[in-house]
Amino acid sequence: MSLSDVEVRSKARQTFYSIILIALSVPVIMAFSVLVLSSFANQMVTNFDFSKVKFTLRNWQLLFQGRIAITGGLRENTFLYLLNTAVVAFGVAIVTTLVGTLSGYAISRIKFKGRKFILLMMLMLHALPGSILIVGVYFLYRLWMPTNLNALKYFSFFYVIVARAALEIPLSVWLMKGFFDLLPWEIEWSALVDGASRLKTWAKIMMPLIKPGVVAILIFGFLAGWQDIIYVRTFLIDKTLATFIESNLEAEMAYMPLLAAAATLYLLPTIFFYISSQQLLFKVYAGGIRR
Amino acid sequence: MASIVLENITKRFGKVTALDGVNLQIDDGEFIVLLGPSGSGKTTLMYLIAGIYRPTSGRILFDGKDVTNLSPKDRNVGLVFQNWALYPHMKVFENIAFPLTLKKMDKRTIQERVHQVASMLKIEALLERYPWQLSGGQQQRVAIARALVKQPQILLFDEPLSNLDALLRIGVRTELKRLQKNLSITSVYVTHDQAEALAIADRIAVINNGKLIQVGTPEEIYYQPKHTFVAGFVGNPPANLLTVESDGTRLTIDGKSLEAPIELLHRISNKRRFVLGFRPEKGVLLDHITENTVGIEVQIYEVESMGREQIVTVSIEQTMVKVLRPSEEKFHVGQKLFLCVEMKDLMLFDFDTNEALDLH
Ligand SMILES: Nc1ncnc2c1ncn2[C@@H]1O[C@H](COP(=O)(O)OP(=O)(O)OP(=O)(O)O)[C@@H](O)[C@H]1O
Ligand SMILES: [Mg+2]
Repeated sequence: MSLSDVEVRSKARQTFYSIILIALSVPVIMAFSVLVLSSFANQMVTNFDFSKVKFTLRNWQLLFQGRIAITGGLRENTFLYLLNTAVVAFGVAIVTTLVGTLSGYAISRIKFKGRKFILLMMLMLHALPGSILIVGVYFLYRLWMPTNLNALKYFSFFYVIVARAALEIPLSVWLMKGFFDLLPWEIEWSALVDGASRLKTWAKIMMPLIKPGVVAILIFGFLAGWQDIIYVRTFLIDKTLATFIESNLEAEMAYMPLLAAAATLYLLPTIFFYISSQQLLFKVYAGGIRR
Repeated sequence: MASIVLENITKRFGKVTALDGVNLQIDDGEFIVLLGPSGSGKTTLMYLIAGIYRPTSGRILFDGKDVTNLSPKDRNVGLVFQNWALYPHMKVFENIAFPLTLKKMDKRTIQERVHQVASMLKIEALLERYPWQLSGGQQQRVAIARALVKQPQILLFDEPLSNLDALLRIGVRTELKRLQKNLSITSVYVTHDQAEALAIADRIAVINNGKLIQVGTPEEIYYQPKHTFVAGFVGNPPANLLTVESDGTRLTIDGKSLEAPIELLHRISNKRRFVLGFRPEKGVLLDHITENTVGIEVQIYEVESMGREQIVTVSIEQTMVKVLRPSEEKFHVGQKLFLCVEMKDLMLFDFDTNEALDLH
């Protein structure tokens, strides 16, 4: 259902663009390949010396057994970290999407005082990197922190999710506002006249039309939560994959191929989402209305 | 299947007054055409009847029941939007079926009813397409089908045929009218095409600047306009409107004397100034002024042939007048003649209020 581009681009030009794009992605693809290859090898392949490299699944076995430090008997719970990461990522995704769609709808559809101001503030907030805000955010954390250790653990999850989502919300509000702006009022009204309730109109007409936008901010939110390290490290009582890998990189006895396996695991959702959502993100509905 | 009463409807958008004290009664089963220039408030009036807008003041009654605050879904109204407003993510079939699926009808009935309206509007072959795969005219017919399929008690058409070519347009509008009469659904039809209005309306409501200027049958609107706006808006070309000065005994247009029976002076009851109007087809061009007509000397300015007829533009000093004459009559530019109009074909308007002086 996507709208095709104006049919004017020449073949030669298209080839030219493709070559540039491929050339630009070579370093990135190389880096990823080295990482993934290393995770299946007995040593890092970063020096491109393949003579001593042997294929092995041991890194992955060790990773899931939690035997990170090869020598020590210390065991880490990789599954728990994976779960923690997922909780934070889904949490951020859901909070971002809920706030983004609802505020985006309000800002696009309802004319209220201070609407412009809110939009401008959102843009400014988006310009500030999360690391700058962290002192203030930490202050609030200390202010509300429960003393009970068990409660603190849950609170820290909640806090990380909300604080991290707050960084993503400005962009998602802008994005959703844009999507709602594209929807003509008449389509909404038409559904109402056809006999739909407000809720039905939302579910049957609005939602399907803004789906690409919703999926986009869901994915952005998820990836933001999944990738975050600063907020997680500052506030979360437990570890996620990101902090887990980071702490082991610093360790003296770090066994690199194993960390490569951990890093590959950490990369999977990102790669998965980029590939699966590509098509969807470019889908824009058009037609059926005269502008 | 319902009568509509609009009582003193005013609608403001902030400082803009889109509708100003509109009173209108539409009978059960009547086909009313709302005719007015762009920005006159036609769409606003439709949205008020459909329940999309609430009036700033005034009441709306369906069958005597106050529906002013009823939400659109409870009004059982079909509306063809000016920009169609098809659902882009649904195929044509789903678009048309949407009002029925909301009523939770069974699949068989939905299929039947959709195919019935689709065949009527000749869009059966398009049911599996998406709106963006259709031409403008096809989308328009889908929008009409969607409004018809739920068999509403009131049908509202907001310029539904503006994207069809001339031939299809006449075909579809005849079909619409026939259908409306068969189902006897009370209909309001918006257009700014006056020829279309004259062709299909039971009654025409002429609107300008948010005010209803005149409501009447096509004949009344055409031959007895109550306002210079109606005379100057309806007809192709529209009525000629000339400002006439009077000194009590002599009438002049642009300083040129206008010959008229004494009766005319009585009808204008000694006004210093008035507007004289007549339909282009009511003017004749002769080499003398005939009995019981008003006449004035004119010069031929331009002649445009329209096949069977020709539009002859003549000038009285600065004022241009259009006259419709059969093609057999020959005129040449620069020729001096007398323009004569029979007394019974004159329309007289007050110069200040622009309202009709007397109606014969
Ligand atoms: N939502 C709105 N907010 C502010 N002004 C509006 C709104 N809708 C309509 N108007 C104004 O009200 C007046 C009537 O508009 P409306 O759309 O009813 O005109 P229309 O007769 O349908 O014109 P057209 O033939 O161009 O469709 C216009 O001056 C328009 O600018
Ligand atoms: Mg309109």
